[in-house]
Amino acid sequence: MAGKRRMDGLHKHRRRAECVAWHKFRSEGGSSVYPGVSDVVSKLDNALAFQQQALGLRAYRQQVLASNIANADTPHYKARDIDFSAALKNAVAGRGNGDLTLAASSPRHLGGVGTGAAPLLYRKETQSSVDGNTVDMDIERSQFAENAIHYEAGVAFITHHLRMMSAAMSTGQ
Amino acid sequence: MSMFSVFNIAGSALTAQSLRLNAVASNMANADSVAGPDGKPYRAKQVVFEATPMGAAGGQGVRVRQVVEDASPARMVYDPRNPAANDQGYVAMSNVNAVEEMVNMISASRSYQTNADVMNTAKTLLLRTLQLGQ
Repeated sequence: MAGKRRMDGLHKHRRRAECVAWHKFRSEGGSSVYPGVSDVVSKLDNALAFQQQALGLRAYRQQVLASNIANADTPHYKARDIDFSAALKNAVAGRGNGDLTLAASSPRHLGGVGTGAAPLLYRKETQSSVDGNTVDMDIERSQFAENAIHYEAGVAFITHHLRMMSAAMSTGQ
Repeated sequence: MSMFSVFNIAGSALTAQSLRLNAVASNMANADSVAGPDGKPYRAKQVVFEATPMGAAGGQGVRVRQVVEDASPARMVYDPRNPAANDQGYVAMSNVNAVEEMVNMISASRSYQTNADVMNTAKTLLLRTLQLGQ
């Protein structure tokens, strides 16, 4: 996962470099077979990046909530959840969620930030049970349903964004 | 893709709950048994659940760690004409508590339904994702 995230970063970086190079190329009077293609692609990428991150986190949270529901009868199981907004903020800013920063023992070491999954927190207990289980089925069910709706909303956002983009691209044809 | 591990997690819960339901059925069927296959009175069986790591980081499925036998004493019923009766005329019956088993059954079936619902929701979400951009 860390590798993938970093790859994405590199990709974006390369794209930006490409854009700069292309602008330079154009200002110098050059012509391209497909002018502005990389520009459009990177814009599309940027437009969808936020929703993509949000959707990934929603899917992860759905898994965590499914774990809670599956273990509703397991003795000593503690219900877990993630702080969605904090995790999304970190993901969008490109910060690692799992606090996997590389330790540097010399100022000449390269800094590195691993991107772990969003940190799992423990849910506050509402009614304690004798077997030490902290799953409250009502909370879990409602959170699960809410998360599912948010996921669907994310999918709808992306769909409409794509439609908007394709409408913009096909005008005048 | 963490949405696929939802299937594994909910599936493990379905398996575990159906095992629990199996144990309940076995207990209820033997509520009035005098002797089990080993010649001793039937003892109620209970399953013990355990969380087990599954899917991406933090995913926890559930599995049955062991099936334990209820240690409570056998129910003694006065029936001197029964061939299994002891010198005082008491017969050792199974230690199944019917009320406990009914509660167990309802709890197991509710959990089973909930996890089936979870699977259905995950399926819907995945299908929506497949239709992305259409």
